[in-house]
Formats: sequence, structure tokens, C-alpha cells
Amino acid sequence: MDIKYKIREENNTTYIYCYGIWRVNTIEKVERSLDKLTFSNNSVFIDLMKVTELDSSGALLLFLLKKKVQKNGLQVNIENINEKYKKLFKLIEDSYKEEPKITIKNNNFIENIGKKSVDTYRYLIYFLTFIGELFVKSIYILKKPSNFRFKETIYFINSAGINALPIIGMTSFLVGVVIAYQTIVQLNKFGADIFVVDASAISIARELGPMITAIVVAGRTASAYTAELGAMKLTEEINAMKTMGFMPFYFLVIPRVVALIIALPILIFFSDIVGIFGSMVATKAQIGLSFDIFINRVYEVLSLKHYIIGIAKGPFFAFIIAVIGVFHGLRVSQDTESIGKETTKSVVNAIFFVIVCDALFSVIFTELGI
Amino acid sequence: MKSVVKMENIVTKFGSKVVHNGINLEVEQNEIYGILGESGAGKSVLLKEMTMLLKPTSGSIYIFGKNINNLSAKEVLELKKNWGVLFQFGALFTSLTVANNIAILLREYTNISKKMVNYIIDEKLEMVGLDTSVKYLYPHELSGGMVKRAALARTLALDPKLLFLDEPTSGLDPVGARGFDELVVGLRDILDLTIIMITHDLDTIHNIVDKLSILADKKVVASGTLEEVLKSNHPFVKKFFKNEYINASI
Repeated sequence: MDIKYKIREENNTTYIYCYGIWRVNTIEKVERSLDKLTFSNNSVFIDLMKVTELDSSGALLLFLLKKKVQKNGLQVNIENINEKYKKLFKLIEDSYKEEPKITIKNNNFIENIGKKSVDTYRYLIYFLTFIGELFVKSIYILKKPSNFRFKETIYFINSAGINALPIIGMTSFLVGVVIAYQTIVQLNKFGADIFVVDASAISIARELGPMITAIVVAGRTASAYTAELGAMKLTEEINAMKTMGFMPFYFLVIPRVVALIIALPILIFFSDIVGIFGSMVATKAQIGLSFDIFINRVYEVLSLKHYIIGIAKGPFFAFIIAVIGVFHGLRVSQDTESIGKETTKSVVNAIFFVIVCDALFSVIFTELGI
Repeated sequence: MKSVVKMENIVTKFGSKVVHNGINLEVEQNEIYGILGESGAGKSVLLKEMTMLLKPTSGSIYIFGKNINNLSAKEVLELKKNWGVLFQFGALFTSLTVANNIAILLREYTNISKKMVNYIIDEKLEMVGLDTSVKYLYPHELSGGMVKRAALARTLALDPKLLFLDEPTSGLDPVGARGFDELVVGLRDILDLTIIMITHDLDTIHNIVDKLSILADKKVVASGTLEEVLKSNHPFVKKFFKNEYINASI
């Protein structure tokens, strides 16, 4: 039988007869109307004779009704309760406290700005501390090379470098195709089709190859580093290592950073080749320029410096990506949500700072006239 | 007495590894039922099968008299609202405060007013012996024992009829563990619960468990009340209960 109640008034007394199932999933039907009841009589009887089921929430509702009526100075009795329900009411009576406080803290605008500023400041300090510690630990390793974890480093070169070859090859090839394709359309207007080789080879070797590789690696590896270390932090693996006297920097940080510094230039080299090959294919398809002519032209226009500048950016990009990835991984706190937050931050920051770094290089090299 | 959970001939295999080979057990209403066994005996797997997190390779499980393999999606949901599962490490939602951990069930499944939800949260916290001030804390700000209690409060949010507890007293200090035992018995008496627990705690087994089953060699090697189980000659049972003070106190 469903939940319901009936009210009868007699001899200056209000009788509330309760029927049916008073459980957590049924009380919503009577909760609001019970709350609105007003009583004009001196005493109230709540009768539970016809209640077939009562759980702690149902009992709590009736108990709250009783309290409310009592507050208005009326006599209240809950009648016809069996022994078990009596225990339940006793339990609720014991645990009852006045109106639960709901404190919702609303930060105001100024407070939020302040908090955010302090957070950003702290973040910066932590980051600098981290970089500092990384350098100090690296110097220790130079002093005592046996601390360097060779096996781990190789493992990360494999996972961050070699396993990334297919996706980097695909992306670079497509970018090479697009660059050549778009350039030909423009150059065609001047009858200067052959310059497509200059445009694509130099731009790929100097800028696009390194950038695409860095961005793909930032997405792949920064996120992986953050998630790996974050999960280790959550499961207290990192604390376990610390108590065993293993330095997380030697075991976790330096192998990852070194591995990426080695892997990224190689990936850029690969990306250059595939990118230029992509341009070559597109040029052949578009204007029928033979591969021989294309390659000869590349020899003529692509001087070594463009190519070296491109590769030389690799270690810097790698350092940025690896350090940001690892740093955010170690910042994961005790809740699972922070893994997601930190991973997002690490990828976004890695890509952003790679681009900033690239812009700096661009300005420096141009000023130096290279 | 009505049987609440009944497992018939449960066989579980992971690949070629046999975990259970014909398990039978029956839990009656209002019982506190213990499941024991060595590590790797498949206690947790058994609990996961009862709570529909895993499917046994063969065999049937009846909960509240219904075969859980033949339930419609709606019946499954109804069943899930009527049981509560306490995980070994609490499994509180780390991104929610304790209050919201408890309230989430009430908000999802009922239409109770906010004010009433707040009363219910306080009531549940008091029931499990936590101060109501913890409700604004996040799980990682609680101690191990508090996490267990808060998780129990969440489990009780919908006033379930059936509770599954996975090692409820592990990781608690002896005083806390006995308090937890009392709490479980108290809740059982007042709220009419049926409780199935995995436990290794000899005190718990001795003090509050009505009946128990012992898993070993992929089977239930002994079951019944503690006295009945102690009569078993199985080596694991002998080894496990070779404990002076249990023998002395019986």
C-alpha cells in the first residue's frame, strides 16, 4: 500500500493517521504537504498503526514533524509503534541536532582574484623549485653516473620515440602534401612553379618539422608522463619509493627527461624526411615535376644550416615537454579528478611553451642573421 | 526464515584458472553472514558476483528470491537500490565531499527536499558515529577509519535491506573495529538488515557473525554457526582457528 496520511480533528485534538510504506523512496510524496500543516488544536496524535513499513528516513520525517509541532508549544505523541520502530525512533532522537547548518561559502570577485594570484605565484615557485632540483640532481648524476637509470631511459626512448614514429610520419607527410599543394597554386600565377621546392623544403626543415613533431609529442608524451606519475602518486607508489630511499628524481624524472631529449631530435629528423617526401609526391601529382629534379633542387636550396637549426630545437622542445609533463604528474593530489586536471594542464602548457620557445628561437636566429 | 541470498553451484574460471568449483551458500533474512578464506580463495570474486560486478562462469544466484540473471534492466535497478555495498577501501567519490557522497543517492533516486536531504545526511553520519562536521570534508582529508564510517553512511543512504561489507574492520584499530562491530549489529537490529561480510577478524567472527562459510580448495569447506564450523577437520579451518583465546572462550 502506498504512503498516505489522514487528519481527523476531535475534542481539541488532531489525529494524524499514517498508512502504508514510509520509506526513503516514498516520503517525497507526503513530505511537502506535511511540512505545510498547521495545527489549531492543543494536542496532536500521530498514529502509526497502519504503517506497514518504516525506515530511518520515514521515521526521521515523522520525528521532525513532532519536533516542529512541539516547538509551537503543542502536545505531541507518536502512537501505536511496535518495539522495533521504537528503537528506530530512539536512535533518531539520540542523533538529532537542531536544524542542520548549511554553510555555503560564496567567494566574492576580489577574493577570487587574490586566491588565483596567490595560486599562480605558488605554482611558479614550485615550478622553479622543480627545475632547480632537476638541475642539481643532474649535476649529482654527472658526478656519479652509476645513479643514472639506463634501462628506464631506453624504455622511455622506445615508448616516447619509436612508438611515435607512425603518427609523426602520417602527420608530417600530410603537412608536406598540404604545404606543397597550396604553394604551387600561388607560385603557378608567376610561372615560378619550381620554387615550391624551396618553399616546402626550407619551411619543413626549419619550422614545420620541429613544430609538428613537438606538438604531437606534447600531446602523446606529456599526457602519458602526467598520467603515469599521477597514478603513482595516488597509489602512494612514490611515497613508497621515498621510504625505500629511492630518489623519485633518479628513478622517474631524469630517465623521462633524458629519453625525450634523445628521442625528439631523431623524431624531427624523421619528420623532415617524410614531410619533404610528402611535398615531393604532391608536386609530382600537381605539376608533374619528377623526383630527380625535386631532389636536385633540394640539394641546391636547402643549406645545412636550416636543417641543423630545425634539429637543434629538438632538445629544447623535449626538455619543455618532459619537464612540464613530469611536473604536473607530481602535482596530482589525493583525488582522482586532479589527474584529469593536471593532464589537461600539462598538454596545454607543453604545447603553449613549445610555441613560445619556437618564437624566441625564430627571433634570435633572424637577429643573428642565420 | 526467508532466504535473501542464495548461490547454487557457482563455478568461476578466469581463462584456465578455476577460482570456484561448485559453491553453494544461503543467507537468511536478518543474518550477519561471514565469508572467510585464505588470500586468493576467491572471496572478493564471490562478493563481486553477488553484487553483479562479475558473472560466474556457471551457476545461479538468487537475491530476494529472484535469479539475478533473469532480471530486466528495471528490476536490476530496483535491486541495486535495495542493497548497499561497502568496499574494502571505502571507494568514496574523491571529488565529492562526504555530504555529497551521501546525498548523491538521495538526489539521483528520490525527490526529497534539500532540507530533508540535509537532515538525512546528519542522521546517517550520527548513526555511523561520525561528527556531522566531517560532512564538508573531502575523502582524502579523512583518516582510514573515518573513510570506512563515511562509506558505511553512504551505503545506508537509501536504507537498503541487504548490506555487503568487504573486510569492514581491516585497517581499523582494535577499539575502532569493535565499535564498528557494535555498529553493524545495532544497525541490523534496528533497520532489519541482512549483512554479508568478508572478514578475517576473529573477534568479528566470534562476536557478531551468526553464520559463516569457509572457502578453500575452490569450495565451501565448512559452513554454519561458529560451533559447527569449528567441528570441521579441514586443514585451513584448523589452522585459521588455532587460536588459544577463541577456543578458551567457547
